[in-house]
Amino acid sequence: MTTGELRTSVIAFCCENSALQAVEDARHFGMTMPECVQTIRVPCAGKVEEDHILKALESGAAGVVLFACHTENCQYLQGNVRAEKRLTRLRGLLDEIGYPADAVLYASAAPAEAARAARILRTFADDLASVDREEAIEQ
Amino acid sequence: MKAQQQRAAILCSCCGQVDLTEVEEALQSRDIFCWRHDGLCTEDGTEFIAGRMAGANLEGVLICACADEDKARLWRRTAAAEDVQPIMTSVIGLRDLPPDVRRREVLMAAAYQKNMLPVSVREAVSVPQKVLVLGSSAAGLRAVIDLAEAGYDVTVADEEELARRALSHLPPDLSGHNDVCALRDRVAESDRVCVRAPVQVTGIEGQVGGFAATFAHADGHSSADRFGAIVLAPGCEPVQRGEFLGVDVGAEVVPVSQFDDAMAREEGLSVLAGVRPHQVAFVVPSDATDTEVPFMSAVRAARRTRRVLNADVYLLCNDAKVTASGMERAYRDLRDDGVTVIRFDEETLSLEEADVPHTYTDPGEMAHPLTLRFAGEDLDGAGGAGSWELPCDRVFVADQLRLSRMGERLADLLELRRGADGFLGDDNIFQLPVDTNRRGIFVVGSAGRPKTAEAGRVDAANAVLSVQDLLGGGVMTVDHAAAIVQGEKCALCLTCIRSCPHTAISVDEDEGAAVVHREACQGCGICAGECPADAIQLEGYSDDSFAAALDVLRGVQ
Repeated sequence: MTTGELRTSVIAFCCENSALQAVEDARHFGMTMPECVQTIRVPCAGKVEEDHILKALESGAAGVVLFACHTENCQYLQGNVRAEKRLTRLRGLLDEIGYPADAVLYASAAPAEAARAARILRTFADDLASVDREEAIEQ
Repeated sequence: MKAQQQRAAILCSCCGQVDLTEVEEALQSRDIFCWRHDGLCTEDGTEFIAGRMAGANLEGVLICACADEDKARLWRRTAAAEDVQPIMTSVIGLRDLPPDVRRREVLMAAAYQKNMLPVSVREAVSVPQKVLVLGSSAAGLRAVIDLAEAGYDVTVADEEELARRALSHLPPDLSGHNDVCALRDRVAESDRVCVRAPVQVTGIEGQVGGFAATFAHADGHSSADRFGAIVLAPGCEPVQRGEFLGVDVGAEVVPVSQFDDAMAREEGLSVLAGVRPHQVAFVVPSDATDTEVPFMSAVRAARRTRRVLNADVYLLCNDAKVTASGMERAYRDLRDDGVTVIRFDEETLSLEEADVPHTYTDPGEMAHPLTLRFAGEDLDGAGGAGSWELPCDRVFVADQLRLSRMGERLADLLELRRGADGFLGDDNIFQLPVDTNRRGIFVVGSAGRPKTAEAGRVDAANAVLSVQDLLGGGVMTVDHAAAIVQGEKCALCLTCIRSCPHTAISVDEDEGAAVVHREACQGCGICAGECPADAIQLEGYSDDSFAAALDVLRGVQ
């Protein structure tokens, strides 16, 4: 099964100072990216609230990526640290409300790391797809 | 001169070491006007650049000279101050490029493309043209004078007498000892400068453009004033060592700073207590490595001891050549002077003291009171745990530096973020050399990170440009999308105040809600993300706009 056959999409909240540029470059250079990835521009990963991620899952996304800057590379000093903490907390909650904890991912990329961003998205989408397939077999 | 904007290049010949003819031809064939200078890295280099920029109708400038990153940044900003776009200003070094690469690199840089900066909403706020400088390190005094010359009313405040700390705590050749004395006199003479020292800073409220500071004077009265911006220059100080490797610091184990103090007081090598030692070891322990100032200080002291006393001098260190720029050369000079450099592992080094105190009668027959022992060395190649010894008469230990106590108090008072080493300089790559996490508060000199006098000068010049950027001619532009608190939803849980990395939020007592100060907010939205009551919205990125973005994506599916 390829990532294109996912029943729904992956939503990536991308920091406009780093990962957004990387993902856009990856598209621009035609790197292998899962087609189901949609990006939402945010001023800083630290802005993305738990509510936003949950709403994204609710709206049918199979997975959500929170794409931030590398450690000590946040333009707003603490944004990536806050984002990672928030996501870790959210993963604990997901299980209780019936989503797999692996449906959300925190990742970091520099604006120049298009290949890295593409690889992270590819791996994430593939992982989701394989979980999907196992569920289908069980049913 | 043509009416349209021109491009120009300023070329440094590095005292004739670089042949500029070819480069000049290449640039001129592309309509790039060229100026020459012999040594842009000297102090008047920056003035030369500023002089050429002033009044010239330039679109961009290419500066060809070897410069460290801070200096390159200073030059770019010098150009920007004259309305030459900083993004069009490139600094490249010619001396270290191989001749065949030189031409290509220069042409590549000359073909720079014009970029567009994002347009943001701006609002003009009038601000006082007053700057408060806290602390009086060499870089701080330099900033005071430069700011006064740039037309600002400057107040300089220190907990001790002016420049006292700068003169007592740092090695003279690194702190710019003579400079400090001259600067202090100039500060005292300037009629644009108000000196408050000694004084305690008891509070600083407000934000950039309107910092309200209160001072408690030594005679018991207090005063207050308002400032547009703040420059911090409290400097650093050595950590007092009680012992080193189990031996008390005293007559025979001596901090390098005492050696420097004695030199500054022109007592010569009397710090060696009247003996002519034959074997002297300088040790740079791990807590002092990776810091240019203590390392260079130990290197200079070692060379001096070697030259003056003709003793056997050893320098024990780690990573000698990569600690800072310029170390490579310092290391070579050290070796040329006959100092033996030994790389050591701190865990295997021990220091032993002779049981009986020594009295020196005949220097020729001197027994060495100290022994440095290097353990765990496989000396015979048989794999055994051997050790070898280095007998010494004196061991000098490089100083570990830390932020001065005044700096600590100011960091707490102003809620500043500190680097991993405790200094005010930030490891974050977005922080320019003099920036702190708060808008309008800058740090210069060794309070940011231990620095040489020259680096401190560059800091001061950068701080002046930052202040000019910010306060302009009395009007400050507030150009960031800001967070807005919806007062009726705010439960005053203070989460936003704790989470704001820029200390831009405070409590509005009248409203009974948190308030985000527009002038200090940088628009990251962290507070909006953290607020448990969803009472904060960020302009352009509200909850509604996220919902709308999701709807759009759903429609796409």
